Amino acid sequence: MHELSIAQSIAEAVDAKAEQHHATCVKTVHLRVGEASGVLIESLSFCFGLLSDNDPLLKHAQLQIDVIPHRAWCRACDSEFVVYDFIVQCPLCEGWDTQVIAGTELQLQDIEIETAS
Amino acid sequence: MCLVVLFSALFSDRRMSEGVTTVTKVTIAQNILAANDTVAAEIRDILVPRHIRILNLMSSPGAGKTTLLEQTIERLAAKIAVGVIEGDIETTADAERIEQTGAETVQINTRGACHLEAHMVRDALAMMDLKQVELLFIENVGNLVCPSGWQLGEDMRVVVTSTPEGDDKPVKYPEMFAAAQVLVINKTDLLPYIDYNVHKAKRLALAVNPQLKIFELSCRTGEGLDDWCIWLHDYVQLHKRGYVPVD
Repeated sequence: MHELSIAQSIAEAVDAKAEQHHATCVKTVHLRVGEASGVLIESLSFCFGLLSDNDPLLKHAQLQIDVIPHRAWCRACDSEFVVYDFIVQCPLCEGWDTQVIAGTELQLQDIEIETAS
Repeated sequence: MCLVVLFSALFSDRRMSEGVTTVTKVTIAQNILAANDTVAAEIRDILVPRHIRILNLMSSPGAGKTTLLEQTIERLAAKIAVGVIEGDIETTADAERIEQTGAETVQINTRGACHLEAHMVRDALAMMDLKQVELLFIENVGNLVCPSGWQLGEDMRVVVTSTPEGDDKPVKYPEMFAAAQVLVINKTDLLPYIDYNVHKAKRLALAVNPQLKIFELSCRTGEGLDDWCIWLHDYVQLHKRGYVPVD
């Protein structure tokens, strides 16, 4: 949902950081997007492409997206497991004393920029 | 994981010369919605020192958020000062209803946005007299999807679901239910007339969020409202005494 405004936030943050470092262009934008973040990767990529086409700093930028699996930790048996369909029951002990530990991220991790030497 | 982080920190200015240009990796490592989160933190800086508890109330359109607030304020007004920020796409209808209860009220009209964002709440707070407020409700735009993505500086998220919506909502809209601390099942008075299995709804809600506190009530008949209001009252009072409720 809201992939266009999310792409806009990414573009603004990347532009700001690139300008701060006197970049001539941005080559890569590295994101970490959780499976359970509610963000559609394809839509986000499409929207970012639309925005970057009109931005001199971003028009050659490649999006590199790490999709982070939805995972939880079981307090009772101290095991980690993959979460399917948001159901957080521990598959090992079948308990419910669990906590989501990954998969809801929506992070701008780093960028690769070109600068004039 | 630690090794990767350390590598990144040490070599965040790694340079590879390529002719007359240099390629540099610049670490940012921030939430994409950081701008909203920053404003949400500002909101907490305003409200927490005043010992005001903040609840973000979310639901589908028509689940009964505004009616729940009317009934809650009526029961709590003598003991706890309540303030309300109303969020709707259009009209001041809900704020006008809440004003009748005597609570300090501000209406936000998003004019098309399907959820509240922190900057809207910050601007609304500037219009409120917070001196008399102990418990602030933010009634979000009716929407079971988008509001969960935006922090508003709240202490707790309360999701309201109503029996006519169906008992499978927690697994059809899991993000909303997984991100909340409290679930209110409203319109229990309609149970004799519709196919709604309360046990199933609670089981599915707890399957995506085992720590959910669940209330079943009817704003029409008043059933269950006392338990909800007693819990709210205790939540505010315990906070004022410095306790963090475990329940």
